[in-house]
Amino acid sequence: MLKEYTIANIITPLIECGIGIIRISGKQAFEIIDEIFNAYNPAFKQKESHKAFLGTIHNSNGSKLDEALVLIMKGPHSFTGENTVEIHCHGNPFILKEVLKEILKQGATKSEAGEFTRRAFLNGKLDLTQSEAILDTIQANNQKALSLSLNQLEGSLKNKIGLLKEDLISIIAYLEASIDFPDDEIEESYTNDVINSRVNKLLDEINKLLKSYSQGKIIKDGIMTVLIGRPNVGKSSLLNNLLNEDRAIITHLPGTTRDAIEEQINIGDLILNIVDTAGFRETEDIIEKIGIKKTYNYIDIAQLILFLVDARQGLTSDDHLMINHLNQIGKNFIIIMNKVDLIKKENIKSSNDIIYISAKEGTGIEGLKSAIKDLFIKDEIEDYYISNLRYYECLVKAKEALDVFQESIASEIVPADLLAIDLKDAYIALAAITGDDFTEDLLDNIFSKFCIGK
Amino acid sequence: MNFVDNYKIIVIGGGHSGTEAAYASAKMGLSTLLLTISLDSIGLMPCNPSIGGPAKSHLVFEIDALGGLMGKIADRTSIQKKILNRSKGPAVYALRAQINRFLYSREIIKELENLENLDIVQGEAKDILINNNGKIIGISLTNGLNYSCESIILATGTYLSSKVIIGDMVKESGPNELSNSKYLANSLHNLGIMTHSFKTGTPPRLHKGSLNIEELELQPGDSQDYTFNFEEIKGNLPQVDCYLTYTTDKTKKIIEDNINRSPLYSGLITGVGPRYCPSIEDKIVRFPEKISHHLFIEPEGHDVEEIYLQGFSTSLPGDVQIEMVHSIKGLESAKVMKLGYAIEYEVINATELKLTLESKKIANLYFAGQINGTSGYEEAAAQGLIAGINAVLKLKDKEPLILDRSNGYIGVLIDDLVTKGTEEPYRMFTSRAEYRLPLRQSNADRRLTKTGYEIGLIKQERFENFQKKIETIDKEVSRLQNLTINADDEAVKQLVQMSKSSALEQNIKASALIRRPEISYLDVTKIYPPEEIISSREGEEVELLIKYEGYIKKQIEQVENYSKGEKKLIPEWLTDYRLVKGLTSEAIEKLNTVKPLSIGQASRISGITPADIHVLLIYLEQIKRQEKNDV
Repeated sequence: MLKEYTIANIITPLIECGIGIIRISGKQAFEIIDEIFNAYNPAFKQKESHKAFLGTIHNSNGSKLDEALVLIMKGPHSFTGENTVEIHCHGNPFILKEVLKEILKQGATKSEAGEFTRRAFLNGKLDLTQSEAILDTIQANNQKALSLSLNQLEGSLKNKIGLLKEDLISIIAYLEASIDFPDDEIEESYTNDVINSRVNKLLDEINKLLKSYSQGKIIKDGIMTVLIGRPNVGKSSLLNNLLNEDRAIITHLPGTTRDAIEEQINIGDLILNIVDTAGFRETEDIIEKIGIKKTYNYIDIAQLILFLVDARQGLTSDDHLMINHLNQIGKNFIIIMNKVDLIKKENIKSSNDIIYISAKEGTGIEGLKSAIKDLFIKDEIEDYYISNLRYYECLVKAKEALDVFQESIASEIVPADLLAIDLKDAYIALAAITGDDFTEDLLDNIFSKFCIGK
Repeated sequence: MNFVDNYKIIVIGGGHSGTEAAYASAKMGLSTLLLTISLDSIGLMPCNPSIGGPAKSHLVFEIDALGGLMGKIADRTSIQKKILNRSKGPAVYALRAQINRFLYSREIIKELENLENLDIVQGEAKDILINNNGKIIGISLTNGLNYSCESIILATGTYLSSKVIIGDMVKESGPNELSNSKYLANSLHNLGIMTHSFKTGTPPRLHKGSLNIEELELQPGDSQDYTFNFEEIKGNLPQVDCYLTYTTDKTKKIIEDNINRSPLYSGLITGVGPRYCPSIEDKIVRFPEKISHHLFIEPEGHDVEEIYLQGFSTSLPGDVQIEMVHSIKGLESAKVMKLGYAIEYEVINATELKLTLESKKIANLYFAGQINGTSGYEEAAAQGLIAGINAVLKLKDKEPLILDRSNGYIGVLIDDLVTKGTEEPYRMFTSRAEYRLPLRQSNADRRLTKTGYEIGLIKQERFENFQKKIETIDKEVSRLQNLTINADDEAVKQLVQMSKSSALEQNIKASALIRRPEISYLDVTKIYPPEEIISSREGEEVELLIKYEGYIKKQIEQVENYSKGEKKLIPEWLTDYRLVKGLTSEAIEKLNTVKPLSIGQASRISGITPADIHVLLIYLEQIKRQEKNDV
């Protein structure tokens, strides 16, 4: 079905660079930016076109993701001809992805390849010759999506979504059958309590899948890992050590800034995207301040923090402050005591929280790797997981519809025909993953389950 | 060629579709001929003697709102009325009427006989006559007579090349021993319009006096005064009861023992039957764990003994049918007056039609009712009305009447048929409508009566009454939205206490009070009555609009979104989608078959992807700009 939805996406390449831009285009663009952006200047509320505003981007919990410059462009005076917002963030792929995720949570849809251009054309912003190129993109994208979705959906994930859908449609089928066939004997066992507990189970499953998104993302995209530590604790040696062992499968992402370097390292099935923070490398006053601030920014979005300490110095009071901070924000972190070769054996206090290594001699590296694995593969890995942002969005929509349903059913005043509307919304969200026809699915279910007819 | 008479429009078939078509055509001022195989069987109800029920009642209200026949005749001839789904929500309340089917048919005939511009003739159509330019010029009958016309509406129901099947007996026949239409299918094939078989069935009819009534559960009516028709003109027939009974394990055994004699399983029946209307043998086979199936006993009239055994449709041999009937609780010594049977008949593929129900191949040839693959009197009547209206509008050179999915169930019905086609006899369900809440039976008039008035099917007086009603409702809703109730108001305090609702903590609007589940519109208006008297139907609508305001708003927003796609029209010259570069071959084939009117309709064709739609949009934009450049 053709919808006038609002689209968003990152429009700059996903590499470390100075600035990364996210564009939101469509009717809801301004509403969405208001939900995630606090401008320093209250005049932002007026949404004056072609003005830029500095402020902070935050997620739905209110935690800050980045400081950003937001540009407002009112349709038709924008690239797409629609109301458009451009967010200029710091050019870090992780930050950009997190910000995009928030935007999608607020109701935007991730744009397909070429969709901004397509809209620009349809709204009369591009000339005819450009439209041919757009058509080619659609076709290419179509082919790619087809093969991609086939691969993605083969096997267990497809089965899983299929089961959820089946469960959901059988609940809807009951409600709808009792509406459309009031004379027929529709099972009485479907009390509101039964329906509610089945919806609860469904929600549990959907939540599990949503959680598996981070697992899926970890497997697909890697773990955002930040390496922190004072100067000379041996961060480069550790990096080199990890890198050397896996030289064959390392990609070195080109960075255009000098302050953070990202390396990709495989540990078993896991990929670590390691950012070696520059923060602690500089020690001079003002620069150090900026560096520390940046480090904290990275820590905020990191999934794993490798905290490297010189075993000879042990944990300082500053280190303890950092550890408290990490505990407070609930981050996965590992304290690594380096240069264990330089201290006496009796000073090594073996513990689960602290890994002793010698980057120079290469000892303890295996222990570090298994500690990382333990952290991330501690949940039983299901044989399915969500790694695709679009599926994630669909599941979020399904979840939201089911949440509304539960509120409605709890209120005890919402009649069956309206309850069915919420469940149908949830079903349509799931069906968007697998692509099915609601009415046909529903009728199939009703007629196979209930003996209906005169 | 000699024509005995000349008409603008000829309607073939005098069932629920044909009669609505003929009525609309004549009422709208064009000379019309209604051709029927049996003059005595106009408006026949060959299956269940009832009209309405969920989604079907919505159709009847819409037919009435447009100025059609079915609603008012059903009211006039009803012998029991019930409102279904009272507790299931405002969108799905549904009126169902048991009908004296003999009087229904009689009343339809009376309406038509006295109608200006309409002639009724008994006879069987043989050929659709076309001149060398492919233009319709008339029809020929099997009796040798020819009639000329400019447009034809085909409403052949279940009569087109139909066969009745009982056990191993197959008979060329229409329903109820009426003769079938033997030649017309061939005429259609010659015009390039292909047909295929659908199947349906009906249960045995019994003599009421032979039933053991005490063994049956009473099913009385509950809404005698509720009418389908806007004027609320009630019938005056005596009201009668229905009954409920059950099949037994004995019934199950008889069927299982004789299943090899069923034409359904012997391969004699090949047509596709509806899943929602299975025969009893089908139910036993498909749901073997079910020991007992319930059956409704419905009178065929208040003054006749013949009764209809709902839920017991069968095509097993006669001896088995009688044995089966006797195994049912309370029917141990029942007399079977008519056997149940299956009927196979020819239908066209409705994707060959435009949304006006006119053929895409042959101009001025319209199809309506069961020939389009639907089942049910209400579905048939709705299509007949739309085909009739559009046939007239076209001959008068006026804009066609196309109802879309947000205008009514009629729109959903026709859009589904024309856009998707149907694999089995299509029945309307409320779940087929995506915007169910705005499509209530209670607001059918608001949605459609203005249209009915504009095309000339609604009289001035009724239109004025309609406008008054809408005004009254809207005024009352806004009164309650603006009326502030003081938290200290003693009468309200008492009401809140009596209804076990929570006490008012501050002043609130009357509408907010009505939104409370324990409080009704009537409760509040007893304390704060409206200036003018409000009828009970108006009051119900006011209450509903207030109580479900949030939900209605939400769906109306969805409708607005939907309407944008419907308003993006595809130009008529685009009939060959091979012109559109970038479409998949599957999409080209489907678009070429359906020839959608709008981007919205195109997007509903199964197998058409959003990418196809984008390609199409870009193509249309390219063309538009080229045209602009050329100018």
